[in-house]
Amino acid sequence: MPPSRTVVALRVLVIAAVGGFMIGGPVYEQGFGGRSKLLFHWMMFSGFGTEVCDVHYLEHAADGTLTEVDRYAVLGVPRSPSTARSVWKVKDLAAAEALGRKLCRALPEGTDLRLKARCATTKGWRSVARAADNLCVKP
Amino acid sequence: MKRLAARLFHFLVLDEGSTRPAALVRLGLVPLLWSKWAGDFLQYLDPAPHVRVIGLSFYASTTLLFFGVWTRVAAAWAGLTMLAVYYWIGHVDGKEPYVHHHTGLLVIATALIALTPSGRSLSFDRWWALRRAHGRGGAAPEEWGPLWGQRLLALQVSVLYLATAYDKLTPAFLSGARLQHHFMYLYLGSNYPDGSWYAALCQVLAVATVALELALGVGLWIPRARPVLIPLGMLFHGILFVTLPVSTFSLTMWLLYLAFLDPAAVHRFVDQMVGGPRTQPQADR
Repeated sequence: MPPSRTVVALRVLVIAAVGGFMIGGPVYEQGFGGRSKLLFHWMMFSGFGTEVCDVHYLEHAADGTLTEVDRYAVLGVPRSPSTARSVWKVKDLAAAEALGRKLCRALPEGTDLRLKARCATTKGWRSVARAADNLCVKP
Repeated sequence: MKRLAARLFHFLVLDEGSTRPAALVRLGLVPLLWSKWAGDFLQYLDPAPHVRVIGLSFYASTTLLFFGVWTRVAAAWAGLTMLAVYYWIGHVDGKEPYVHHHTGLLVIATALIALTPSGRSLSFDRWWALRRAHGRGGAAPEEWGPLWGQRLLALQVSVLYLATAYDKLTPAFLSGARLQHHFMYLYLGSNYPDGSWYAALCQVLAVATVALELALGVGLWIPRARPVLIPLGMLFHGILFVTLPVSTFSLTMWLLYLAFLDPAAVHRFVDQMVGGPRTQPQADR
């Protein structure tokens, strides 16, 4: 037996309301940049993984050449995720500089250690250090 | 155009079919809900009074829903409970893990299952109805009902795919940079691999991800595309589960693919699986 007109009208109302809610969330939040705790949006993993940097420590020679320093070898720790988080996964510039100072203490005195780093952002990689300063010189 | 609109209206509003796909979603949802929340509402954890009430409501409503006891009421009750979990405990109390995407999807799916006649199949309600019918010497009750609730479940899946693909249409994602971040954050640490292969691989994966999500968002509605897209989608979500912290999201998406399938085909498939006689979801009229 086909549904009555009233039932059909009710269904249309519910479908419109629920469907509008489903579609309205992404349209409002992703299309118009709005923010609402009532609505659902599906920007999954959009902010995930931003606490990591690509870091390189470089020894600056008197002639200006830069040689990569293996931070694991200098600190005598394995190149593995089980290594201290501050060495394995550097989360930002401050952490990268702190690790650099730790390397300075382990390297021969007078080493000119430079940091080249870029950190993850939601907009891609952002360069945060370009090997300009000697980390082993106390400011 | 008018004919197309009429067909769309029939498909969304009037169409009817076997209730087994909705019943299978119902049966799959409850274990996912329990795997996510059941441990949080244990009474000896001394929750706040409203969390205690919501928790008891969670256990009672989802248990009834799973077994299909007073399913219509149980589904509405469970749906409201899950909305309370999400909005009250998640947003009002500020329990952030409760408002993640995978939890949001579970909440929406539970609320939507209340809009389906899922209790007409694979439930105690069905068993009792069969006993009553046999007692009267009548025909077995139909496993048949309106499909608009099921269509809404499918629409949610589609909206999710299209929204998440749209969100990724940025230079940061399409260049592969964001995937580089994900893999470094979870696996590689601050050790960017030597050579160009890593950047190339991440870019290929990024473009393929967006292409697949767009294809799934549209193509799952097209019957001919499903035999290709559903296995691809299942593989995609399987890989996501193993490689990223997506929690219940992958299995929920697998489950919700049922909403796209032809209910008659699902009905036949269940018959074949249990090895019994072939049944008709609806009596001949």
